[in-house]
Amino acid sequence: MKNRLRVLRAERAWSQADLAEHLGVSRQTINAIEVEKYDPSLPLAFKIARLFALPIEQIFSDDQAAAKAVE
Amino acid sequence: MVSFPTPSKRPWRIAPVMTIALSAGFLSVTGAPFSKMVARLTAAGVPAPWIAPLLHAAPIVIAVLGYIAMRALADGHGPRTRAAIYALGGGVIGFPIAFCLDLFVGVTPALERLTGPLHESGKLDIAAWAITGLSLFYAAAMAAIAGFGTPAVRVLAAEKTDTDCIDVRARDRSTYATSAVGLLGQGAFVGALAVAHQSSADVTVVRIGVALTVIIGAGAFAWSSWVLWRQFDEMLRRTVVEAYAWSGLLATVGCLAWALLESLALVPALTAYGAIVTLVALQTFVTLAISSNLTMTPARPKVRAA
Repeated sequence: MKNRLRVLRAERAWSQADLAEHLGVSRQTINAIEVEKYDPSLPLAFKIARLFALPIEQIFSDDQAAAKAVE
Repeated sequence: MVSFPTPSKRPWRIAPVMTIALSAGFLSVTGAPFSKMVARLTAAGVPAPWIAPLLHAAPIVIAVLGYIAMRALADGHGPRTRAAIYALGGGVIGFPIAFCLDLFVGVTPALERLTGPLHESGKLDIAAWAITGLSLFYAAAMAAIAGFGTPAVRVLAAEKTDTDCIDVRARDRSTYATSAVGLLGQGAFVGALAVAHQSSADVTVVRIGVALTVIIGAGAFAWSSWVLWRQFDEMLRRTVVEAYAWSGLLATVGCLAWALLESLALVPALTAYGAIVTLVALQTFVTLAISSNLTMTPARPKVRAA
C-alpha cells in the first residue's frame, strides 16, 4: 500500500513522534507506515484521514491503482 | 517547499565507535589471558611485560575494526541483510577475542561464593548463560534509554539513524523502563535455572534463593509483558502475536523432530530445563528477527519498474 503520510507530515512540520502523539500510536508504527512496511487498520486509516482532513484515497492508494495510474 | 528531516550528514559518527570500544574494554577487564596464548606470544619473541597489555588491548582493536568493516559491508542493504551481516560479523569478531582472553573469569567464583561449587557448564548451560547475558545487556540498554532518552539512543545506535527515529518522548521512556524490568527478570530466571542445574550443593538456603529468583524474575517478566501489551498499539501487538506464532510453530516442529530422534535413541530425553531454555532462546531470536523490520535507518523510497 502506497501512502503520502511522510509528505503530509512534512507539510505540517511534524516529526514522526508528533504525528504518533496526534494519532495515539507509537513512533515505530508511523515509521513502518511511511516506509510501506505496515498497512494500518481501517480505524487507524480513518483516524489519519480525519486528522489531515482528506479522503482516505488521497492518502493511501493500493499498488494496483498506482500501476493503473502509471498506464 | 516540503522539507524532510534529514538523516545524519556524518555517516561515521564517533559515538557508536566509542560505545563499541568501551563495551570491548569492559569485556577485556573481566578477562584473564589464556596461558596457551601467553606461551605462544612468548615463543614468538614478544617481551613478557607487553603480553598482558597486548592481550587486553586486542579485544578493543578487534571489536572496533570489526565494527567498521561490518558497517562498510552492511551499508546500502536492507534491514534483514544488515542484521545477518552484524550477527555473522559478531560471531567472527568473538572468535579471536575468545582466543585472547578467558572472559568473565571472576563471575564463576563470585557465584560459587553464593551457591557453593558449580559443575562445569554443559551445552544447555552455555545457552542459558548466553541468554542471561543477552537479556542483561538489552536490559541495561533499555534502562539507559529510559533514563537518558534521545542522547542514549544516539550513543547506542550502531548505524546512522533518521533524526526522527531517535526522538524519545516521556511516554516512550516508561515503555523502555518496563522493557528493562522484563528483560532483567528474564535474565534472572534463566540464570537462576542454570545455577540450579549446575549446583551440586544440597543446601536449603541455596535452593530457596534459586526458587525465589526464578519466581521473582518470571513474575517481573510476566508483569512487564502484560504492561507492554496494554501500552502497545495495533502494529506492535501484531509484532508480538507474529513472534509468538512463529515461535510456537518452530517449537512444535522442533519437538516433533526431537521426539522422533528420541524414539530412535539418538538424543537424550528432553527436560523441562532444556525446554524452557530452548523456548526463551527461540522467542528472543524470533522477536529480534521480526522487530528488525522496525528499522531506525533513514527511509529510502522504493523504486518500482514502470
